[in-house]
Amino acid sequence: MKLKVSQMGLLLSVALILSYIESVIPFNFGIPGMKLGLPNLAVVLTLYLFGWKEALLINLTRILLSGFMFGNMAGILFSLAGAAVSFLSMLAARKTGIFDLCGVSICGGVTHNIGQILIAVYVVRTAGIMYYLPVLLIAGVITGALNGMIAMRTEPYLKKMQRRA
Amino acid sequence: MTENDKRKWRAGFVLALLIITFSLIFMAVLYQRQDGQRVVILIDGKATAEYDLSVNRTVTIRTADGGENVLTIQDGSCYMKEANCPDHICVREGHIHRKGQSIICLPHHLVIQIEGGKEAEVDAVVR
Ligand SMILES: [Zn+2]
Repeated sequence: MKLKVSQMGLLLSVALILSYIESVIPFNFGIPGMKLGLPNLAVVLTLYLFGWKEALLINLTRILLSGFMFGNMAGILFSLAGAAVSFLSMLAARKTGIFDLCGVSICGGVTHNIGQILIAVYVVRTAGIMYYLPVLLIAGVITGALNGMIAMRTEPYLKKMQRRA
Repeated sequence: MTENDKRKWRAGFVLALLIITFSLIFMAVLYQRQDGQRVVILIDGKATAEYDLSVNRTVTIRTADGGENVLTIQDGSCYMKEANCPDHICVREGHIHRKGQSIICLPHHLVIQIEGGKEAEVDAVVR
């Protein structure tokens, strides 16, 4: 129990640091306010270590905290849209049993960007900005794969700690 | 790695490859690298004005709640010169000139979109 709390705390701080990093990296593929989706690393790790409820908790907490610390209301809206779509897709992708952690993370990365462009389309009510979708899909694959590969390397160590405790 | 692990890893790899291939094909079709001829101003998705990209000028676009964006059209391209939005992302976007490109000002619900020349007359009548 104690270990779970400390691991969750660690994952939340990783998520917050990554939220900060993505808030200072300009990710300008035409859609303002978009984020790369780096904190998904912590979310996907939590999902595999503890389960969907814990992952959801980490996800929501980091969106709200980082939104108030390094962003604004519009930023929170974007993060929420991206995170919600991405989270549900990752749960679904994991449930199918077709993918490993890395594949699930790629699904998360891609759908994160789809969610964000959809909210932008909704805000400006102009479907024409979907023009930027292909670039965003590729960016999503890259971030997702990167997150997935790091998470896959990290997960065994955190698991080992759990077994030892 | 067990056989099952390998299969799952390959599934992710194939997914990534599929999405990238699909996007690249989509890009090859969509991004024709064609210079646009008109710039259309859309507020809340409604086209409120359009300008010829070949005519140099600076216009002020007024949106709801006192929003103001100053658009400069110069030598076939355009850029947001000034704006009173909180984030100024639209100003940082820089110049655009290709068909399909846009500058978005989310706070003002404003999209500046570059279009080709074909529909010019039709739109002019509507306007
Ligand atoms: Zn703006």
